[in-house]
Amino acid sequence: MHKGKPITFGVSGRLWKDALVMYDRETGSLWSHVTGGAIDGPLKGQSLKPYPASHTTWERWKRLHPETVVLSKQTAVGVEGRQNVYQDYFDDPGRLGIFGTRNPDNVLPGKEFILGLTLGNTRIAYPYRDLSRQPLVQDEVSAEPILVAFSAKEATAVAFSRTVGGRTLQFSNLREVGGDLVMEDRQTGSTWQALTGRAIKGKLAGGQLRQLRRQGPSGLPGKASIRRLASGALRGDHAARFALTSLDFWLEWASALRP
Amino acid sequence: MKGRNRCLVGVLAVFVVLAVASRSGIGAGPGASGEMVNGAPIITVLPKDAIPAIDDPKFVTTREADQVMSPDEPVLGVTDGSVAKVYSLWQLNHHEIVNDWIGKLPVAVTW
Repeated sequence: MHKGKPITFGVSGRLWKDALVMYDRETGSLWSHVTGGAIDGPLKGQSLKPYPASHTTWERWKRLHPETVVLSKQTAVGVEGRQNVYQDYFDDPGRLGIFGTRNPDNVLPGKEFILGLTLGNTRIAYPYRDLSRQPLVQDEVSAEPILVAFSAKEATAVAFSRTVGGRTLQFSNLREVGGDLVMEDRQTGSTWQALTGRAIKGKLAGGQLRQLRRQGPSGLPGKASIRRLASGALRGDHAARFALTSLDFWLEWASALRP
Repeated sequence: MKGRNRCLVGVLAVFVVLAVASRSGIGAGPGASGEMVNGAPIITVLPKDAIPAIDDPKFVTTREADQVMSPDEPVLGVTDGSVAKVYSLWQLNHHEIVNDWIGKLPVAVTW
């Protein structure tokens, strides 16, 4: 909000750390898409608040939210967005950004998909390659009990707090049932929809886990701890310096930002 | 999803422009044109609004959307528990920003 009205954004045509820089039409300040912070102009230093968003496939979203509305693809000159015009870029593991940015280390490939979270002062990243092997992760980050659920089919990862109604739950038995990814909590045996955090059966039916907002680091450059997972057990943290020009790190910050 | 769906933070329209520019000898390399913020330069590659953000977005039903969406198409979805809205990332490739509302909450959907 600015002077009591929501601000609106346009594409500035500039990049910072290989990523979109927005400008607001009210003051002309520049905003980083990945951090949600104003990096220049009268509003420099202010931050947009991230809003939880799910990055998934049309098929999965439609099943999870049958009443969803969809941004119209109709334009004055026809239908847009029928294909991915950047498929070549996506498919090239060697290209990071448009300026020839290099992967700063060998911890992960530059374009590895990750689920990144910022909790308290802790920044943490779960690589999708590890989530593929362990699609239900229960963890404690910055004293917050969390859960990460992963669907390999659409490479969709979501994170929730495991504390609901004053109680911390433990989950197990993640599986696909009739096109739905579900899990149970050990405390009551209730069944939960893993990608929405909604309890659909049992004593806690109707309950909702709080989705954690994927959020970029606020101070740059920064360190993020990568949780490497191996066969059901968490190996120790591997602190790695993510150069924030690694574009796939930014992928997970594609989120709805609240002005 | 076929293989890994590579998703990019909204700069790919720029890529085409830059490729053309590079061939003609006009390059904008890192540090070439911008002030530094937190150790990294802000680089200008396109005029303002060359990529048009969406204001006043229009929405359709799932049935209408099915005619123009693929099952594996990557999307960004948001919900506040009562309203669910979803945005195609193939479409956002061309706009990068949607100025929208979730219920009473003003949001910017960015890609």
